[in-house]
Amino acid sequence: MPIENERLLETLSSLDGVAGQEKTVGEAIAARLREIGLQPETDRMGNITARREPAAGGSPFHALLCAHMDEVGLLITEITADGYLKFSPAGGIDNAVLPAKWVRIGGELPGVVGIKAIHLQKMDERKKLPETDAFYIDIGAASREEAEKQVKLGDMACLVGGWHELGADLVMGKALDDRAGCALLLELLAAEQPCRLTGVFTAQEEIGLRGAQVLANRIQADLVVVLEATAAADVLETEAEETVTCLGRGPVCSLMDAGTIYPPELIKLITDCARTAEIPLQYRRGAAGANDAGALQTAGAGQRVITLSLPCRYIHTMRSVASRTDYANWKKLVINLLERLSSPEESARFSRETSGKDAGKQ
Amino acid sequence: MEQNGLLSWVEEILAQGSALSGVSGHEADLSGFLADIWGVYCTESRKDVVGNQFFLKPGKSGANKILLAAHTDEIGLIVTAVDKNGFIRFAPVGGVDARALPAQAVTVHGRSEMTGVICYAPAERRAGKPVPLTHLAVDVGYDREEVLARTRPGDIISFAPEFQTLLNHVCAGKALDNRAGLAALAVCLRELSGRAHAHDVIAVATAQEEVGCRGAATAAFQAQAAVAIAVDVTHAQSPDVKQAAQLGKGPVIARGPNLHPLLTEYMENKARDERIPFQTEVAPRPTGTDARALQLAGAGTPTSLISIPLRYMHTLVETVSAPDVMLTGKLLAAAVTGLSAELEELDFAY
Repeated sequence: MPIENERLLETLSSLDGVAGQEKTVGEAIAARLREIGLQPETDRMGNITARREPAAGGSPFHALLCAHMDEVGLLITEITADGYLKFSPAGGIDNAVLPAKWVRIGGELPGVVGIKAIHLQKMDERKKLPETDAFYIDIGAASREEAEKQVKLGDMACLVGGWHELGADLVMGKALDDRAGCALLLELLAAEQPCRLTGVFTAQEEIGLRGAQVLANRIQADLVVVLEATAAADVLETEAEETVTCLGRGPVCSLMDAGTIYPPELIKLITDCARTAEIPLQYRRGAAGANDAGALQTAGAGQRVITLSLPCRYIHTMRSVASRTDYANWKKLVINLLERLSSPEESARFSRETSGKDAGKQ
Repeated sequence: MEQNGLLSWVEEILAQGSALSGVSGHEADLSGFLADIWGVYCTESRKDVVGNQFFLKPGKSGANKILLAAHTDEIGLIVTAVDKNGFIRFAPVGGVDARALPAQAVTVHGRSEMTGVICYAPAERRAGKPVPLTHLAVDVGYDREEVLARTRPGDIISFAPEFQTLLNHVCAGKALDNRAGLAALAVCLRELSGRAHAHDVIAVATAQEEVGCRGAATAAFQAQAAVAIAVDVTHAQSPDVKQAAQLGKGPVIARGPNLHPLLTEYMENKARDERIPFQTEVAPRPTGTDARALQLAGAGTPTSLISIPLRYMHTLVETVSAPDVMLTGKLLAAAVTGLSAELEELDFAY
């Protein structure tokens, strides 16, 4: 199954934007929103919001869909006397993927993460990875003065990975977490939907759900759906119970993570949507990690939240891998869920105003 | 202006060479590239059974032959097995550093080419410890059956190329060990095309250097040259490497028992004459380059080693200075033109 707008996903995943420096990604998203006739609003955290009313006769049910714009990356913390750059990670990156990799600083300047040649390593050096503060970036500068003309402390250095097709159904890109969610949200906002939709592209998720916290103070909806990319550990001979999710087995419904315990009635509803529409669905078999749902669930008087994710191998590296079929099914599932929530019965059950009254009836 | 033209040509050759795949034992894909950058300045070319590629540029007298050797091959991986879930296991070809492999993109050269990425099981995440090479695999995105239909043990896996010009004409990419050497020889042959030189020049792109200088041994046997010069790369300084040559400070002339002392001195004098900055490295043992095989060819061959400083050797981000490459080529050209008809500068006089 194809991704409807794969070109959009490729473009978004290739842009650079670590927490706090989402400008380029935000501009691309805002431009696309205008293209589809919506008015993007940007707040002071850098979150982008767009609203779409349903066609005449549509449901007043209000769903807030959210995807984060930022990706994991590095921030430049020091320029050495001989012109190398030291860095600190913004978001969780495994040091194992850093040696001898390409980076792009401030969205344009190329550099490499150096490593001592194998010929020169002592035996004990081969047995350990450098500590984060031992890594350095080489931009070809001959001195600190020369490097300072190109780079400022605090500039982001993003991991570089092109766009590749893997096998028959997989795509490999840099920041599928969470440009995949951004792309899906843009696709959903581009089409007529059965209920009121607020789409939010959040900032600073990777360093502690910071954008969403501000957003939650401002917008209250009947239901929040977080569109995420989540780890698929179905790699090599990993035991089934340790895979968290598997590529090709459909979108993922979270049950619980470090930020949120998801409401059982919503998990049930999603399970039912998937079953009725014959969409493959998997539950996230792991409770580690958190996402914007954690911030959105507890804001104000509280909101119902659910996370629907795209399984993604090698997440938080420059080579995240996802399945086109999973993406298409992910989209189908969200559309199906919105349709269900727009029916008078489910709408009454889950809307903020009325749901408290029959809370006992689930 | 002419200098700038030459420099951009060097950068272009480095980019083109880096994009090609020539893992040891599988160097044939570089023939077209070599024909373009060397062949145009030469009259004859041929290949041998080991994979060496020879190019002849005849001299005026042809009294002696000068062998200029740069290895074509690069490190890579070889398929050893496909596991039950379709992940491809591999062994290294040459000195591969397992620490630089995770998340690298690769091409599997099977019945058809497949893009893949080097992965490891999440359980391998052990704080501070690298994932050992035997626990890494290639994910090509197909199931086992499909993978087996497309590849089998013995197929070569090459690293996906990426090339960038950094500041100061510093170039970074894969396989600059030793595409930089090939580029330096291209500069040499181009310089020689406008100059008279007495001796025949045999430029050889040697095969299988990375697995033990196998091509150089057979190339030297065939060439029967009076003088041999190996052109390779050597370690350059970086924050974690202090005792080494420096990038951008010119070619490195090696001294040591592997290298003929008079030829070495001759090379140093040539550099001084031509005002080419050079650096010195000392090799107390046989060098890890083609020079170790060239010296022992035939009845023994006076051999010199000229190297281009390079950072992060045997990774996908090998880094050289394009001006260093250019100056290396110019030094080689000056050395070839300056050698006397009888080569008396190389005679020991005890």
